[in-house]
Amino acid sequence: MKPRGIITNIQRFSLHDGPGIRTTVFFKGCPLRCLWCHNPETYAGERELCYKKSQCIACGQCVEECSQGALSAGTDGLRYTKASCIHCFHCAQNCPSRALFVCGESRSVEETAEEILLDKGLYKSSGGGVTFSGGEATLQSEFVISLASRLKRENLHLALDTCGYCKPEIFRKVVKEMDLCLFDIKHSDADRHKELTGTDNWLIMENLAYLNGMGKKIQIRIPVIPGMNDSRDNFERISEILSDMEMVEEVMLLGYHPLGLSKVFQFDGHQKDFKIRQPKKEELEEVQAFLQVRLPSVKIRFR
Amino acid sequence: MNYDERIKHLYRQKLQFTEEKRQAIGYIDSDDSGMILPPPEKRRKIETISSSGMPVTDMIFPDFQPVSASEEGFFGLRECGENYERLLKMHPVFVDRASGLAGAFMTNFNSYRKTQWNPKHPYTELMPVLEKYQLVHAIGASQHFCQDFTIGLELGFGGLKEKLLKYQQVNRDTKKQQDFYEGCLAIIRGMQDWIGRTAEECKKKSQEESDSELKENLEQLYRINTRLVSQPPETFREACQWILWYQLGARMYNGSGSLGRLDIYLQPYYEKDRAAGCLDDEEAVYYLASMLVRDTGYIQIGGYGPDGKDNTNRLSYLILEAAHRLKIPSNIGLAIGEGIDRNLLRRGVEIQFGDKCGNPRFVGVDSLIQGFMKNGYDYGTAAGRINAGCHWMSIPGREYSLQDCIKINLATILDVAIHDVRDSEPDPDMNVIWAYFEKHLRAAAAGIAASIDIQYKHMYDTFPELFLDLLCYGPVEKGIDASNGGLEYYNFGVDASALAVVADSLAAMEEMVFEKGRYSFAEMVELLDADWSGPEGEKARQYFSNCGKYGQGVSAADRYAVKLSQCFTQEITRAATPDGHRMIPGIFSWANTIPMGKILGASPNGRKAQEPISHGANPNPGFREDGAATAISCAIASVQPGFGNTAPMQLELEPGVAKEEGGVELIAELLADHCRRGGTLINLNILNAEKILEANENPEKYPDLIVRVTGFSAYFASLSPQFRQLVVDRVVRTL
Repeated sequence: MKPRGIITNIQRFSLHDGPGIRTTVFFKGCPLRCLWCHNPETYAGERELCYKKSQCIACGQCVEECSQGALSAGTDGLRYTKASCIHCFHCAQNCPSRALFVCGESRSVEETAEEILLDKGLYKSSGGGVTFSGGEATLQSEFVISLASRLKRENLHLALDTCGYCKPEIFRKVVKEMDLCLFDIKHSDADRHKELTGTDNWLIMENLAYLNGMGKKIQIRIPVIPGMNDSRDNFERISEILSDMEMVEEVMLLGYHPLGLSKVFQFDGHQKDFKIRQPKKEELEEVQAFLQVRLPSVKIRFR
Repeated sequence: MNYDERIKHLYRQKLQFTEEKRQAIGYIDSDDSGMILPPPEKRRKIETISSSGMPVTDMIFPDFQPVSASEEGFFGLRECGENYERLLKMHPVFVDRASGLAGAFMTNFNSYRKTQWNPKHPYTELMPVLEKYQLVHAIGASQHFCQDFTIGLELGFGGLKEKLLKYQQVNRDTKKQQDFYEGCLAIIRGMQDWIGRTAEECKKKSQEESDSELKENLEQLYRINTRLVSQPPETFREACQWILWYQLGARMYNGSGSLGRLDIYLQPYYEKDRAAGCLDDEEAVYYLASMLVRDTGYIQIGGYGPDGKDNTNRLSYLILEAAHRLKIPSNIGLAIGEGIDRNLLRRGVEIQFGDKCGNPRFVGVDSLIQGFMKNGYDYGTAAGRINAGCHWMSIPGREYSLQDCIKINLATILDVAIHDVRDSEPDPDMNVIWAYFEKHLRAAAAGIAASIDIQYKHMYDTFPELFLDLLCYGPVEKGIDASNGGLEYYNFGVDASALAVVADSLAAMEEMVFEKGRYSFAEMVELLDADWSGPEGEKARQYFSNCGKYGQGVSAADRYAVKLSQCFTQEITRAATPDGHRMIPGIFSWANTIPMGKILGASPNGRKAQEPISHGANPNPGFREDGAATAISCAIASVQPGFGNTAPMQLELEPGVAKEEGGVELIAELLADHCRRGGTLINLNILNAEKILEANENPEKYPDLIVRVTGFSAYFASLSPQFRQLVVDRVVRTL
């Protein structure tokens, strides 16, 4: 059977996920649970029901559609009993305003490629291409490899944006198809990594070392989360790890941005407490300078 | 004051004049044409119709009373020419001591007309079809084609007068011809009087001036303008002044806003003065800025010569530089083509992001040339056809194109078709609906064609071109107005509007009525007629509005948009008008998005009655979650009619995108890619969503915020709340 991907979004005109003008494919499912993540709807690999309260017209159609009584009208919008839900998604399919929607669309390689290839000429002329992102794209490795090989037939530049937490044998198969890897380092210390993301970083570091060894171009991406991973100590150790990795061409510091907080569409997603401040430009400049001294041949940028 | 300081003075003055206009006139929902207010004793505010056919508020001189034989107002070649002469002769003079050029216009001749059509030529038999389809027809439309400045720069007003007198003796056969020459000669007399009086004012002001540099400036303006009363220009500055005078006269006469290929026209003067060592680039930019501040004429820079060689020259850059220094509304169309200097495009993008004034625009000349050649023209002729207005193209001096005046609202056609289906077909399907749509589109196109023939026959006897005739090939030689056969080529531009509304409507109807069967066809029509009223209506509206959208890329609506464009193109190109005039299809709505929507019922895409229709060839706002520029580009490239007229892309980008490494180059490539895909014209705004929202709340706090509304650009604060909202919706839901 041909693999199908569960895709949360296909973002065209993407300028931040690798060189040139690109299309980024966001895959559903992520092995990490970063404390600062505001896309909890991408955690699970399966399709799931989401709700945009602001779009709800309270027509009651969904309650009527649900054969399991999993939905009821509450005083503050819709009430959802997940345990009763059989994930038939009739409610979302019949929601007039799309306030109820399914996060994750099941797509074939050809369907996905068709949309991606709409901008084929521009990828080439702008030095861009396609980026596989998530969630974590390697969780859907079979589909990613099929899609990548389909896109390679068109000679497109491919990039993987990964957290690196993946079985090495799978990781190797996936990155083999890529021209560039955007590789996240959330923290250098295994224990702290576990506290922040739910897993340690042994596997991640192993995959990074392998990636460097196989000669793939690497852009390191470090989310800068004040109070969580922005100590000098951490950056010192990251620079030590990267200092002998000749394939690392660039380090991109991604300052935490509260953008997208309103995008919490899960019924229980809003419970998360986001009290993280956005780092100032000067702070990012300091980290940039700190790393630049230690990694003189690597381009250090921030956003 | 050095040249840069003088340009800054012109910028401040422009803001001040704009504020004064806002106070005196109120909102202005059109091109900021550079008109300034007349002195207080010469101001009377009136509600009238603009030369583009839109209701506007304008300022007229209370002491000017047009003379006419008819109680309905002045009509025809002689009356229009002679009345314009009288207006010019009483027009106040304007001289700014720090400007490199003299002159400014203060009223619109069009606003003194009592009616837009001569009642001697009724077209009552055509009224039913025009009304049934709410057609924006040809009858009464004026200008919207482009003169060739080469003629004027060579002859000057004195030479033009001699040419008219010469041909007046040759073409003595008809009264129409004699009236033509009398009308044109009257205009020349009026212009010479206005220029002469302005020269005197320069002299007077120079005598009063205490600053020695500005005194010298005014003395030079006196000498230049005294010469230009009769003589053709010799220097770069004189050529700029002559072009400005002509443009002020043409603009005030009937709103003509095209300057054309300024970089080509001015090149010989620039080179001569540079070689003689009497002009440097800084000074040239100052004269160009002094021209641009007085009129926002449409200019094309770059492009190909008839031999296919790149025409980009030093002046292409200097014109761009002048607009960049001024930072006021301007309308420069920068040519993008595979054989055209890429640095010009890069510079244009830099200026777009640096200034955030919606300038320049970008013209996809390769597709336009290839498209126009399909009408039977050779390469050289097609390459000479330039962007000369909001969305329109014209061969300077040779083609009557009347573009942007004639429009078919596809949403009205669909509305008529749907109701016809309801009344005639018991069991319709999408094929039946499409067949009815085609039938009504054909009937509407026939109505448009008939209106073109009426216009061609009688416009000269209503409100002839006259001013544009002076710088065209044919009218003066033959004694025939451009609207009436004086020119070489007649290609009437006919635009489709509301493409996205109709594409989305057809897709929604297909899904909701015929695939999912959620509503019957009759129920849908009832919902539309009730304007989606009541909770059930709103629920239905949500269903219909959440179907696939044009612009998403692989949706049913995308397929319908292409089908619509092809169908429209076929209907417009399949035959000439009954009298044999060619029509060329384009897709554009201009500022008609609001009035066209106002008179239209609800649409099956969830649009409510009276809401604006979609913008030109653009998808509806919110068409994709990412609002991707590439998706817009791809969609609009796919619907190009492809016969040499445009279907512009309106693009709004955030300032941040150019901050990325190589960002300017990426955006330049995005634009070049659109043109490579077949795109014809790009209108671009670099806007911050938060800023535009804030400016919408407090427009007075942002007096210098400029937006490209459609083809034209304007100060945001000068737009009516309704127009501001239109821009806001577009920007906020795209970014």
